[in-house]
Amino acid sequence: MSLRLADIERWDPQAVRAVADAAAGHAESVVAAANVLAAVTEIGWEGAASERAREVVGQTGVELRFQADQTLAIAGAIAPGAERIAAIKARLRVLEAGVRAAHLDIDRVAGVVMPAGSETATALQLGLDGLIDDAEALDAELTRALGQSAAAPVPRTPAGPAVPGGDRPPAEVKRWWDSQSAVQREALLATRAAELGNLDGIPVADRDRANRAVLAGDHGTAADAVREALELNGLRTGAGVLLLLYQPKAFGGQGRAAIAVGNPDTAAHTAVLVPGTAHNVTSGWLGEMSVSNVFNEMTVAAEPAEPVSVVAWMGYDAPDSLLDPRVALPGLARTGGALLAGDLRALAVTAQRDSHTTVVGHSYGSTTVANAAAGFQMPADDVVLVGCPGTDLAGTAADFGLPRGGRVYVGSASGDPVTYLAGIRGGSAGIDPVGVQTGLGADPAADGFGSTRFKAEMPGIGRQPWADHTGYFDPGSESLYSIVGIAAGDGALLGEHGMTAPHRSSVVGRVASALGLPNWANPITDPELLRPAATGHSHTNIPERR
Amino acid sequence: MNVDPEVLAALALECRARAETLLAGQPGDAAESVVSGWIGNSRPALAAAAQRWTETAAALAARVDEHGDALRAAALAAAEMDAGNTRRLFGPS
Repeated sequence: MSLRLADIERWDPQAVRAVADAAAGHAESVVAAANVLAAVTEIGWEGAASERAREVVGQTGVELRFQADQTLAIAGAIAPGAERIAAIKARLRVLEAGVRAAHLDIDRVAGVVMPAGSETATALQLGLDGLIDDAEALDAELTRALGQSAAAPVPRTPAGPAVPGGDRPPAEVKRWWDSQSAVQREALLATRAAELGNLDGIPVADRDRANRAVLAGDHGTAADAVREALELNGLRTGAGVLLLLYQPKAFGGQGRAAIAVGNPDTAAHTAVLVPGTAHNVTSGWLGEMSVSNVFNEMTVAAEPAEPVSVVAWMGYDAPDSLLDPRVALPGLARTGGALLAGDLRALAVTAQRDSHTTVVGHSYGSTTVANAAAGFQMPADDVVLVGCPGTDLAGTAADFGLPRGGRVYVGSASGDPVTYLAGIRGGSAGIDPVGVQTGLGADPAADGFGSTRFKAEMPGIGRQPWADHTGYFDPGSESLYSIVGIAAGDGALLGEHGMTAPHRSSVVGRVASALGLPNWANPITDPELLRPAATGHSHTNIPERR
Repeated sequence: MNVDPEVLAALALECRARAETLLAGQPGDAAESVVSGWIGNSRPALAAAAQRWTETAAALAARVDEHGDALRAAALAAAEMDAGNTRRLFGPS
C-alpha cells in the first residue's frame, strides 16, 4: 500500500508505543503465570495426582513461555517504530516549511511539489520521495513484526461448563452466566460463541461479542447486510452498535437479526423498532436511516445523564411485499408477536437498571407489536403504532396490558391508505364492499380505542399515499418528534407541546359503513385530513424539556 | 503420598489470580483502542494481531484458571482424606 502525506500526518507514534508497552507488559504477566504453575514442582507434593498435575501444568507452562517470548519479540520489534515515526513526521514538517518558504505547494494526494522544474522544487521533491520511501519501509517492518503473532496456533481452550439450552428461562441463564468467573466467561465466548450469541439471558454486550465472532466467519447476503448495518449505524450515530440477535439462515435465508445502537442493558430509555411488510435482514432494513434518525433525536430529547438505546428488531418473518397474500392475514403478526415478546422478556432480565422501554411498530410491524402485547405479555412501558393496518388481537388499548402510566400512542397520517385498512369502529376489522376482510383489526386512531393520537401529517402539496405511509421516521417530521418524545419518557408532554391530534370519528365511520362506503373512503372520518403538516420539529428547539 | 492441602489451596488461589491478570492486561484491548493512530498495511496487521492476542489470552487464562480449579479440588480431597484418616485412627474429636 503506498502511503500519502495525509496518512503520515495521521500516524501517531504514541499509538505505536502504546501497543509495544501493552505487549511487553502482557509478556511479563504471562511469565509470572508460568512461574506460578512451575511452583507445582516445588511444594513437596508427591504421589500419582502430583505426577499427572506436573505433566498437565508443565505443558501449559511451555505454551505460556512460548507466548511470552513471542509477544516480547513483537514488542521489541515495534517499539523503535514510535521514535522513527516521530522523526519522519519532523522531517515532513521541515520539508513543508521549505516548500512554503520557496512559495511552492504540495499535492498532498500525489505527494508532488508544485510547480516542478526549479532547482529548489527538485531538491524538495527528492526529500519528499525519500521520506515516503522511509515511511513505507517502516510500515512494512511493523507489518512483518505483527505478523509474528500468527506464527503459532491459538492454544487450546478448555471446553468449560455446559451451556444451558435455549429452552431455559432467561433468568436461569442469567444466573448461570453470572456464576461464571471472568476467565470462564472469556473461555466460553472463545469456544461456544454460536451457542451464546442468541441465548436469552446472556447480557447484550456478551451476545454482541459472540455474534460478531460468528458473523466474522459468515458469508452471504444476510451476513453482508448485517455487517453493513453495524457499520452504517456506527458512522451515523457515533455510538456503539451491538449485534444482539443473529440467525442468518432463518426465514428461508431472509435472516433473523437485531442490532442495538447504544446498549439496552445500561440505557435509561430504550426504543425497539419493529418494521413491516417488505422488510427483512437481506433487504437491508437494519441499516436504514430510521434507526439512526430515532437514536440521534433521542440523545437530544433525553436528559444528559440518561443513556439511550434503539433496538432495530428484524426478528420476525414479515410479509414479502404488498402482493404477498399473507399481508392481509394476521398469521405472521401473531407468530412474530410471540417472538418479539420473548426477546423483550430476555432484555428485561439482563437490564442493569430501571429503564423505560417503548416498542414502536410500523405498518404490519404495528400489528405484530399489538399481538405481542395482547397475546404474549410483552414487557413494555409504552407502545407506539404508526401506519397501523389494525391491531388484530387487541380490540382496545386496555388489551395491551401495559403497566400503570403506560399508554398506546398512535401516529396515523390522514393520507396513509394502509391505516384505512383497519376497522374504524374501535373493534372490528375493515370490511370491503364485497365482504372480504382486508384489514387486520381495529383502528387504533379511532375514538373509543383508548389511544393517544399524535400529529403525523406528512408535508407536501397533495396526497402521496406511499410517502405518507413511509415518512413516519423522517427528520423534522411531526411523527419522529413525537415518537422520540415518547421513547425518551416524555409522552405525557405531547399535549403541552401541541403534538396531540383528534381521533378519527367512529360516528362518521359507522355512517360510512352503513352507507356501504368502502374503507378507502374513510379519510372523511379523519379531522386531520385538511390540516397542513408542520415541519422542522426537533427536540433541540426546546430550551427546557421539563 | 505427600501433600500439604493448605499449600495446594494457596497455589490454586494464585493460579486464579494470575488467570485474571492475563485476561485484564492482554494487549488486544490496547491495540483496538489505538488502531486509528496506525496507517498503511500495518493497520490491518495490528487489527489481526489484536484479535489473535485476545483469543490467545482468553485460552491461556482459561487453562491457568482450570489448573487452579484442579489444584483446589486436590487440596480439598487431601484435606478430607486427612480428616477421615484421623477419625478412623483416633475417633471423632
